[in-house]
Amino acid sequence: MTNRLFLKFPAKAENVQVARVAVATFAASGEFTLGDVEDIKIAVQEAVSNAVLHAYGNGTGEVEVEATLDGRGDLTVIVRDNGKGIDDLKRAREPGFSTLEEHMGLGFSFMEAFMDSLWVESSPGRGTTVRMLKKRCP
Amino acid sequence: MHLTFHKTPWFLGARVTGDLDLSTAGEFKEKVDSEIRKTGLLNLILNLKGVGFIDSTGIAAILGRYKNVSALGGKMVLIDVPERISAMLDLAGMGSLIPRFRDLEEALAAMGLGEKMGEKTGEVRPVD
Ligand SMILES: Nc1ncnc2c1ncn2[C@@H]1O[C@H](COP(=O)(O)OP(=O)(O)O)[C@@H](O)[C@H]1O
Ligand SMILES: [Mg+2]
Repeated sequence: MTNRLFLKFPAKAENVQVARVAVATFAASGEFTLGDVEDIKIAVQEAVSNAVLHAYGNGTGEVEVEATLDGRGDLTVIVRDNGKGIDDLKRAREPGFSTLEEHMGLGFSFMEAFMDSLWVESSPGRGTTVRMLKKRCP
Repeated sequence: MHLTFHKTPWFLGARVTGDLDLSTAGEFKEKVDSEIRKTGLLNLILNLKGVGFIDSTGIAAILGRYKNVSALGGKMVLIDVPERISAMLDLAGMGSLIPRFRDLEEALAAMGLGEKMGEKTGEVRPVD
């Protein structure tokens, strides 16, 4: 059995919590521990926060979040924006790297730490896609 | 996010409950900074027991308060830190930077304030 959740919303700070709660509730319908669901919440929060904070500068844009529970029971979350993209992805993923003041550059580190796999694709001027996998509990 | 403050002559106690994240970190910063300014207290004891959710923006806000307090010559410690938040602070490389204690008594003892508090009130549980 597979299941899928799709969200699309304007890149506004107040929507970050909505997305994280929706994906966490969706994940809770699968075979995940409470700790796993907390991990997923943090990872979704970070990925969606990045789309809101970094993708569109002071302008507006849309964020898409797609969560899928596959036949194995694993959860994939994709967070996509059509914003400015990331020039140097390797550098952006380093812990402590941030282009905003008062930010610590921990978002990618947290996504990596709390999920089982993380892929990031980005093309400058076109946008960024973050894909994260959380395996069902064995 | 909800913040309550407790003032003593030697430190400012602050208890945070709820979400400390992108949508609340700004308010957290503002309220803590203004309370420090208003009271002139330099030592901050932050109780994190009731924090249900924290993200990297919330972690950055805590570190920012630590930097402010330190720059003013004060001390900041954390008490009653939930395990998950502890793990996130470690991931953030703040493992040894901001001292963490199990409870207020331990924090006061480590800050050299335990005796003063005892003398004054005979009771050491104001931010609990
Ligand atoms: N969706 C995005 N669009 C554009 N830039 C991004 C995006 N996500 C991340 N970045 C870039 O990567 C950097 C590191 O991100 P992150 O690790 O989450 O740290 P922080 O958000 O604290 O800056 C950001 O400062 C930003 O420059
Ligand atoms: Mg981030």
